Amino acid sequence: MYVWIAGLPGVLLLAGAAVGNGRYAPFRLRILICTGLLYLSFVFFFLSFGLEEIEAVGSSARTAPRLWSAGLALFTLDQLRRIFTGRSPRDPEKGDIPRVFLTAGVVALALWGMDIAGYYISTGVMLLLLSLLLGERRPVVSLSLAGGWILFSWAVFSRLLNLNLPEGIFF
Amino acid sequence: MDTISHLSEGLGALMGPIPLLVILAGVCVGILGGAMPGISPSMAVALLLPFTFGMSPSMGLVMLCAIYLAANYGGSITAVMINTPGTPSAVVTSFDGYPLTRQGKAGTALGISLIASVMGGFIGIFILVLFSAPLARFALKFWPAEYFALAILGLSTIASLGGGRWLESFIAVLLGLLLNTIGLDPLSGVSRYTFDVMRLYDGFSFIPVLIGLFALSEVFNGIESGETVRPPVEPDSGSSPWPSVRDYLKLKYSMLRAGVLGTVIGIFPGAGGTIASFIAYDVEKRLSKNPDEFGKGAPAGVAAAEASNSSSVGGALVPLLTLGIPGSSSAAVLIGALMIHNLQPGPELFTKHPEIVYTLFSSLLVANVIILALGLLGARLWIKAALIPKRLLYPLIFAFSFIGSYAVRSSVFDVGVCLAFGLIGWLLTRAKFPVSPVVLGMILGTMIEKNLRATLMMGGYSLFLSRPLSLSLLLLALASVAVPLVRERRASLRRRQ
Repeated sequence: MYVWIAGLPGVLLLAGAAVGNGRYAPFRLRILICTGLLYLSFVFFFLSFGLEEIEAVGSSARTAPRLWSAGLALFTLDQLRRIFTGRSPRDPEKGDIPRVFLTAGVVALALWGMDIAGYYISTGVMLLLLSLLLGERRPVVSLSLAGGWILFSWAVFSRLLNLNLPEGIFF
Repeated sequence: MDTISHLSEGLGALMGPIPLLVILAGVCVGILGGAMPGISPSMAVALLLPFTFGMSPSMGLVMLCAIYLAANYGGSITAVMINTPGTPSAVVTSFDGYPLTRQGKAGTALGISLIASVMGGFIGIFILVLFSAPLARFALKFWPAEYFALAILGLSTIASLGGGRWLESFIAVLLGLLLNTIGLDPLSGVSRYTFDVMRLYDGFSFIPVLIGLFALSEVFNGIESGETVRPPVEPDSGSSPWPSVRDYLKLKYSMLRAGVLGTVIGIFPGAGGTIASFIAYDVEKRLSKNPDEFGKGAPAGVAAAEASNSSSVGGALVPLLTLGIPGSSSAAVLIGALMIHNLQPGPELFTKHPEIVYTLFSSLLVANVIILALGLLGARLWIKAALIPKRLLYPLIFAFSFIGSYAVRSSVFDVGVCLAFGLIGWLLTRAKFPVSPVVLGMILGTMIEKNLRATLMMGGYSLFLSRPLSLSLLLLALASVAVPLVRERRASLRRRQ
């Protein structure tokens, strides 16, 4: 599994390097997405040969993955053809991408911390950090947001709806 | 007569404080969610899904459908008052709604949008009630070949309705279908692409994927475009007089036309309120004696957009409840909700759980009345509540997404799946690939695969062609794939000439 997963960034890096700053640079994101999809369809198709074959009159567990991966590869290749013939829209202007990744990082951190600190603490910290990251400059507001959500989720989800939220070392 | 008695039983079941409170809560949340720019109806329904876990299946569905219906109206409030459509389908409402506000007629625009929404809602529900039971009875006679052909038609319509982006839609559909093959094979139980990871044996859970693709991807888009740092727009006072009954009556045919059109368009999988409102607006403009007024504050423009948008909800529920095929993104989320409550959408829902279906129909009628009451109470109130700064709203959406994804299987892994699909959805939308076909592909994947293989076992590929209904549906699917291809070819030939 790790080999296949590690293959994706490798293929994307290669495709990114091939695009470089040349003629197709304005289509970089589209090209990378198409490359990723082609890789995905190849992996699914290739791995379908290893699926256990319980043949049932012309159909098996391999039928659907092969059909869909072949279709995906076909349409993605057509999309690439359009990109290379200039019939595809260019990538949009880049926005605040670092902020997006920082946000995703904070969320991933909270997710990782859930097993250690529990739902309430990790979500509270996540809300605090996210509101600061997204531009809230009043600490009282950020703290109220985090505290308010903890209280709300405890009252509604834990007490009223009896949801067992992830617990950490403390609670 | 059966329908009327079932409906009255359904209404009876709602006449208690708890069901009415559930509908009221759904409508309030829906209007608020719809009015908040950046929160689409499907996102509102997906985020509020965990609240229904502790409810009975019928109450859970009633609440989610009330949110769906109300969110479609809510989008028009900010479209009219501050020219910021709360939902994609309210974009058309702003074409004439905001010019009316700028002319000092915000009350007129708000009144028309409210009444048209409610009228459209009633038309959609009426058609839903009228046609769904006979269609479900008819669908009971379907063989796997017909179900397969129907699902393929559904997916091809979605893709072809992607307009200029039909190829991207096809790719998105196929990606959804492919991802759906992860997990145990539905017929033989063979493990596929699980790499012995236990959590993948059931495949990806729908709800985290839905929340990730619909909610988190939008949030990431908003963060990237810098929405969190922009100051909110100050709304108009909205205190100008509302229209008289005579003014509403002048628009009755516009509302009726748009309502019927919106319902019919809503029935087609993937079409939804946005396409319905664009088409209804265009039709109304063509039929108008004063087409030049459209875009400058024509009341008929507001009425057509809103009536078609709201009526599309009823339309989208027809294929969902009768065939198990979602008519819109929000309906796709509702399929997830049905599955969580162990209900299989499709014709058998009508035979096995008619009380749930008719309670749902009745609740839509009640929700529509509540929308009218809350809309009359004052749109200004909703606008104030809707203008929560994004820097506070977005973190809350993450927190809701955490709960929603986790609660389905009590799995932190699912929250990770939600985040991953949020990022995938963001990248796809950046590159102008639509995300709803991915979801619909994942939802319809199992149905397609099961019926494809069942048909192959029953008689091979020839069975698809020997059964007239299956053949017709497949031909229709083929036509819907061919239409954009032919259109594009013609356009390219014209360009060359």
